[in-house]
Amino acid sequence: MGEQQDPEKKEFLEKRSKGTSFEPDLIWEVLSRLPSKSIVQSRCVSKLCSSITTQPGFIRSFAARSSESPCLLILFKDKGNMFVFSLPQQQKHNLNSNNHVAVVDSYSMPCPGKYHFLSSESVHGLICVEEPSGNPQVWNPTTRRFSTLPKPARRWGDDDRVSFVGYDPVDCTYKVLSMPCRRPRQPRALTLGGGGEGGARWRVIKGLPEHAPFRRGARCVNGVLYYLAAPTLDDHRDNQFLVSFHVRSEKLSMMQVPWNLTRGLRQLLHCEGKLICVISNGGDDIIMWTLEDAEKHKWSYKHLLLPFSRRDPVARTRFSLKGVNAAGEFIYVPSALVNPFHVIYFDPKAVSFRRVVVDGVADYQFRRQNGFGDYPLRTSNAFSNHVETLMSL
Amino acid sequence: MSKSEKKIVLKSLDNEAFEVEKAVALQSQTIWVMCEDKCVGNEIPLENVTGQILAKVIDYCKKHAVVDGDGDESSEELKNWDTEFTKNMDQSTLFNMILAANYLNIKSLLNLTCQAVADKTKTIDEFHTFLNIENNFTPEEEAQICQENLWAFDD
Repeated sequence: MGEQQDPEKKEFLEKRSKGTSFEPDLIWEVLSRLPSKSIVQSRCVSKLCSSITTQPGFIRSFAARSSESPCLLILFKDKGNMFVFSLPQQQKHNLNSNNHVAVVDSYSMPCPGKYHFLSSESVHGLICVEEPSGNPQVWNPTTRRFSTLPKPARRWGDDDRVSFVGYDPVDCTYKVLSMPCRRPRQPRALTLGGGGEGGARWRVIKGLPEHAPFRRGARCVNGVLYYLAAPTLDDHRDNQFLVSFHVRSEKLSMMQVPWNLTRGLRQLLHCEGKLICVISNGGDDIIMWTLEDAEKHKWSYKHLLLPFSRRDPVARTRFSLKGVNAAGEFIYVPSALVNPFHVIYFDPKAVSFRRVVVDGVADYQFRRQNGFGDYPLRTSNAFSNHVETLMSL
Repeated sequence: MSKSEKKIVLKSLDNEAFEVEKAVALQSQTIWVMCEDKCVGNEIPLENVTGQILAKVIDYCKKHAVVDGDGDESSEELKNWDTEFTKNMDQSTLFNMILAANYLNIKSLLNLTCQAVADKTKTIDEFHTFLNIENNFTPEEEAQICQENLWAFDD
């Protein structure tokens, strides 16, 4: 009742000429600028808002706006719950920019079972999650939903699967590529959200010999999903290659890689228009193989000593590479969440780094509310370049 | 070109006349098309915009005609000016500014005013009042759809 007597509102309703209201396209304009939470609320209150905000064009324009300021998503799991923190990701190295950021959003939700978040990438707002059985699920952190994907018509007979999400910016479609990782098999692809005729079922993708993919380090860049693989899981030592999956045409191709390594974490990154494989043994140096010319399969090599220590024994933390920002800086996220903590932005060209202080994660109030002591909470995973999307699956 | 040809007169719904530089007025695609068609003289009647709102639109266009195309510093200054411009506008002015920006087809002003409404929206009820949107779900439908999106209502 109090709201009805709000003088400003009353005056507004009187001043607005009788019967004037916005055309749906103007309502669209305003709605698309609201935060995701308000948009979902509006869906619950009006059929008009619901029909506007579920249209593919609206979902595209909302994601496009969100991609102008991507965020760094930090995930922490405890028992059956997961806690999600969203931080602004610094996009350029600016001496005047503030080296303090605060959490913009955080929430918790039940995380059923022992889900793995190994694919480690937010692809245009969606993250592939694996159930212990290997069955992929797709998580949309914006709408806080996990979606189970349909099962393939014929079973692979091997439940240890690896799945990656790919995004095609031309048709604005997401696809999941999935294959068993122990026994080499042909990959299968599924279009998310239906994708028209035949899209909602798994299709066998031919064109390459059967291969065993590496679980970690895949990257989707400009409509192409890259991952590392070997003919069989036992061949990882001498016979690695790079597979590219063109999301739109579903064409698979492979390229030999110049390294032969058994140990070390290999991560594919996209840095200033080029694909890079960063190899790290967990120490304070990294090897960077940059794909200079994809046609000629030409790679360049660089060995860099990091100007900071990845281990901080005092804070009992360790920094892991989680992606690259628009300025080509590598983003290192700590394993321990304390208030405040640091995110390191490393510039591989200048071999320099800066620390950005993050306030508001795992603070006193959060710990008290959730019954955590004052010990450091462990980062389960972090996703760089995350954009918000209202895509429902 | 004589001096008078560089100027244009915009006439509001309530017959208020504003003489402005052509370069200022032509930021409106609608006015630009009217001038191209040569179906109007130097005076352009704008039937959907009141004088009070048109004055503000002209302020905006003047500011943007002067500074556009300059370096980084001025774009920063322009951004601050834009923030100040919408900061103290009340709901009804913003509402009419959006309608005017849409009618006159000034994309950047439409962006600015829509963003200002979105930023000022604190509750979704306020937003629906602003847009004059009816809640047309049945209570059962509303309960179901809210249940599916409970997270959006926590806090």
